[in-house]
Amino acid sequence: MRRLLLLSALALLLVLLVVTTAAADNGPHQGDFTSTTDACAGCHRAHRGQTDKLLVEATQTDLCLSCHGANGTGADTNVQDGVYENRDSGGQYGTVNAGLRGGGFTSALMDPGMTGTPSSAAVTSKHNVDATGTIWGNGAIGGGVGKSVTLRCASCHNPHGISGGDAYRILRPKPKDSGAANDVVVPDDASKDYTITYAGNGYRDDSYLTGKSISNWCSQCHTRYLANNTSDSGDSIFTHRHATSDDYRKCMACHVAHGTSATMGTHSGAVELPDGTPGGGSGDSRLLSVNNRGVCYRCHPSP
Amino acid sequence: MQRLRGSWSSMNRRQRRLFIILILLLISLACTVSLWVYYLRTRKPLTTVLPPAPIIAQVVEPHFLFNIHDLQAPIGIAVTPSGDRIYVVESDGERQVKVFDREGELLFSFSPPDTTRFDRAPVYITLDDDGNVYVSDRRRHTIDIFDADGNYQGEFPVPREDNFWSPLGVDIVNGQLLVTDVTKDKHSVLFVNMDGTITLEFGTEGEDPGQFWFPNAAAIDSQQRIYVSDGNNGRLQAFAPDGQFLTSIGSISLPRGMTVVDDRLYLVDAVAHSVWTYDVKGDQPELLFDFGEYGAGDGQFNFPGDIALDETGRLYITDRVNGRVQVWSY
Repeated sequence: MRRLLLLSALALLLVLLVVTTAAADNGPHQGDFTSTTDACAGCHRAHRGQTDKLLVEATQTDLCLSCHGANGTGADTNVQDGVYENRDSGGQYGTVNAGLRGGGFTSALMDPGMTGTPSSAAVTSKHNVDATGTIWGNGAIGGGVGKSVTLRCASCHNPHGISGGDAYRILRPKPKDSGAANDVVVPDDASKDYTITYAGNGYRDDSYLTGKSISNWCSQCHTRYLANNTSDSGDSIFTHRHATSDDYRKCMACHVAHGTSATMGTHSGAVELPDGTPGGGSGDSRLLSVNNRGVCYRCHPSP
Repeated sequence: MQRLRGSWSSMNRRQRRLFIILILLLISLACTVSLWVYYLRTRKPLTTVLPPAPIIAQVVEPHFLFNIHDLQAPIGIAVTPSGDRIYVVESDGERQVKVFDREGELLFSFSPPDTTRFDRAPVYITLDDDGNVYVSDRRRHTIDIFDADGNYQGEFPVPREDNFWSPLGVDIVNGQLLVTDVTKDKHSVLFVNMDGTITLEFGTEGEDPGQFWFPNAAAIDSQQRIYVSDGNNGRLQAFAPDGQFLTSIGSISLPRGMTVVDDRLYLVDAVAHSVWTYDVKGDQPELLFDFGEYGAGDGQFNFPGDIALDETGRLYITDRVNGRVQVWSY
């Protein structure tokens, strides 16, 4: 009996060690997660957490923005304004004061009018963090418009990284509440270039690094937006779909992940949502990186 | 029990004495080990593990006075010695400096000319002896100078040879600018003359002692020792006047703004939602107390950002997510 207890304790210790090592494999926030780590207490309280995951603050967003917000006191990637705010000697991480590839949550530094001169403007649409909304196309064929969830920063990003390797932008293999059955790991961008180039097909080509895997990842939530061709899918709502599953035709060729300042005209602003709700007008930009439906023109220019 | 009583009665006097000594030794060993394990687990200074010394118990802590409202994510703060003007940096909304009087009434606001809220990101702020105002701007990579009434005086000269820097924490010390620079790969602390000449620079980007990761503030004590709020490393570091590393205090969640007044160091911890207060007269900073806790009530914080003191014993703390400045007093 005593020997059994001793073996159990050793096994438990081994499991804890393995888990600790794996969890610390990736991500900018992992610090030194060892048995004597000091980093955990930076964000968590074991018995006095203010929200789930035992976080010390009431909303994850406030914590994330304390570094990644407009004041930039703890990071160079200002996701509130969608700007990269630094310059390294080799330019590896991007261009100083250039727009982030994902756009921004409050404003975005973009060129949605394709004028050649990017500028900052308030976002017109975004993945609405701390709000509840519909995941359009979530679920299997015939599954309706999709379920409703409350989105957080950590719905998509894992601040502790992922086990088994590096992931692009510390994206969770299974976004929270997605209902996804399998992991999709987007390979990390070795260059760590956070900024977009505006010329030509910047949004399409700059996100080339992630290949089609980014579409596979987006469709962990927006399941029925993933398509190989435009043939009838059998779904009554998402019946015929633009192909999205190759290196050219991927989600990021047309959309940004965080928020866009693009504006819509008469026809584009009137496009109804999957549940039949009429379009919201000039601000209903659906995370598109170009005004109106200008993204079409990038791949299908006029003769 | 009867067997125990029997064993006890069968012992001679010497054996009984030895037995009692052994028991006492075991108890004292258990106490020592417990205390040591607790110390290792908490990694707090022994002063906080052991019962407080009488002198610590006598330290007077500040108390909450009132709030100044109608601020958009206030971050940096500075105050005149008399407390008649309180300068607060907003990091959201119009992203400007708002100036309040001693009662918390808004006097005026200002921002750099020819800029909009979209292309400026003011963060920390300080005043010189003439009342001029210095504001670091994360987006514009500048320190903007204004007179006491908010009239723009120009940019502080960039001290780097390649004409680029990312100034963050600012202070005026002995007629020089004491500033933290978070330029990628060059996180460091600089003393800079008003003409832009660097007189002292120390620190590199990293996690080792003497290195920095987003240093948010720097200040000096009466012995000219330099203290640095080492943000992402979660620690307070101290350096000799020539920049040599002296000591480090860890276990701070997310240190941000800081000031030293009369050898008392006040360090804002954004994630602990409190202000750590140290006595820095001796060789090692000694924790006196911390004040504040998480919440939205009076005296509670939600991501505090910076602290300033006037000469009347008032403390001013930005309370970012609660959108206010809290005024405390001794």
